[in-house]
Amino acid sequence: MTVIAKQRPFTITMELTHRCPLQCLYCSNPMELISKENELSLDHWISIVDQAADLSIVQANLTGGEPLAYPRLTSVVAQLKKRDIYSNLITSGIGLTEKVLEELVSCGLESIQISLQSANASTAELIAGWNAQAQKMSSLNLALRQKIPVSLNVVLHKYNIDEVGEIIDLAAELNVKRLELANTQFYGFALANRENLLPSEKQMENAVAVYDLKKKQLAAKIQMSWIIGDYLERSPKPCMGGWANQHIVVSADGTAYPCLAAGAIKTLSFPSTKEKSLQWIWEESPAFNAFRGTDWMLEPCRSCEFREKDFGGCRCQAFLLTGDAAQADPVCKLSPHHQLVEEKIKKANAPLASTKELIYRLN
Amino acid sequence: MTDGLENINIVKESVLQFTPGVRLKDDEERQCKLLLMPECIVKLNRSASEVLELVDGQRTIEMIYSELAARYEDDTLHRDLAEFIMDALSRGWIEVKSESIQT
Repeated sequence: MTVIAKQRPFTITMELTHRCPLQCLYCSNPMELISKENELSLDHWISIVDQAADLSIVQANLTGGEPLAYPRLTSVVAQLKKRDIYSNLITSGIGLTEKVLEELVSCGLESIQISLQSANASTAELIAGWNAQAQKMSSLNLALRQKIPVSLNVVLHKYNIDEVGEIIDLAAELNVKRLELANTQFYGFALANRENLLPSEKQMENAVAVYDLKKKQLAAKIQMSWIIGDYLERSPKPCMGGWANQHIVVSADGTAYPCLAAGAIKTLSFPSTKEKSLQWIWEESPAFNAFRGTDWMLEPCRSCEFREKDFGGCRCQAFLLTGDAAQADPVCKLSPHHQLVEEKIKKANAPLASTKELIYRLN
Repeated sequence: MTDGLENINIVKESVLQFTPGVRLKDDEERQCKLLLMPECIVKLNRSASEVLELVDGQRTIEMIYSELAARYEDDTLHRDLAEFIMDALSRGWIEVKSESIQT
């Protein structure tokens, strides 16, 4: 099967390292992490930046793990600048010092996103596995004083969704200009903690009401975005704007994926940038072509009026919940496997707390 | 879309600039202009590009209007431009340069 990529990719996510000082319950990295010995050399990342620019990529997200743990980060940023690719650092803030930040900015870093786990230190510790709140707050303040746009990111779930108002107030107090509230998705490591992390429908309803109100009140002060979680939506999102349609991910060991979670699909073999060019990977690789267009679809997607709008939802979620990545995303109420999602929502709505143990990420 | 913008004092003498972290890029491959910002890319149509190209931290809204009016005879230009500017402000693409606000 040959499917032609409709267009060239716009963005690249570079997972510079999987190492991270935090042990978050909702980690979006895959179950198996890449070890330090298998990380890419600076030369390889430089070559990836060059290939990305030649492939018309215009924006790069530098992430991890914790990208500040990658020792040659500034050189990667400098190369992105040289090739006029917009660079965005996605960091926990751990390891950010004034000197490091100044160096990154002088090398051309264009924006920085720092995460908090909660507005409260004790909740943050429960989520991240250790008390990093003071360090994170200090990094956030440090970045806000620099001449670089700062986004604050908070991943939401059962433990912190009730404090959405508090989180927004904290952001306003700190004079943060961009706030991203992202509901946990259950693809990577987070799936192991799903029963503990999925909020109840009542919690979600309350949180959305608080968000809508504050967004209006603070519109002139903060740019806020709310990233919905799949489970409580009951209709699939157009994941990644379609499989391998806009975005390419290069993982810490050089493997390329159409999205951060795709490594979970064990029935596909993903190409390595050590063996193939980014252009070949984008245009020719079987993995990137696997779910382009609509020919791969099964029913009910194949004849669904929304097939060109939501592309059947998330392929990773389909694989993780049904074992077949070509199935409709089970969050869709039309999916024959939708019951799998409803069962989890029912559990999350129950007044009794989950008895499942929390599983922390061990790095 | 413009909820909460009541606090921004906009007059025709207001100078517009890009919000820090937002910039225009010429995309030769795609033959259009892109607006790049943190974790977002906007592919601009021709009219949006023409307005945003004039946003430079120097020109006032009035100056932007006159330049566009000189290019096109269009009865709705005034209204369209006002709508676009309000929309771009509310999306956080551009902002009013603070020292330029005249009351």
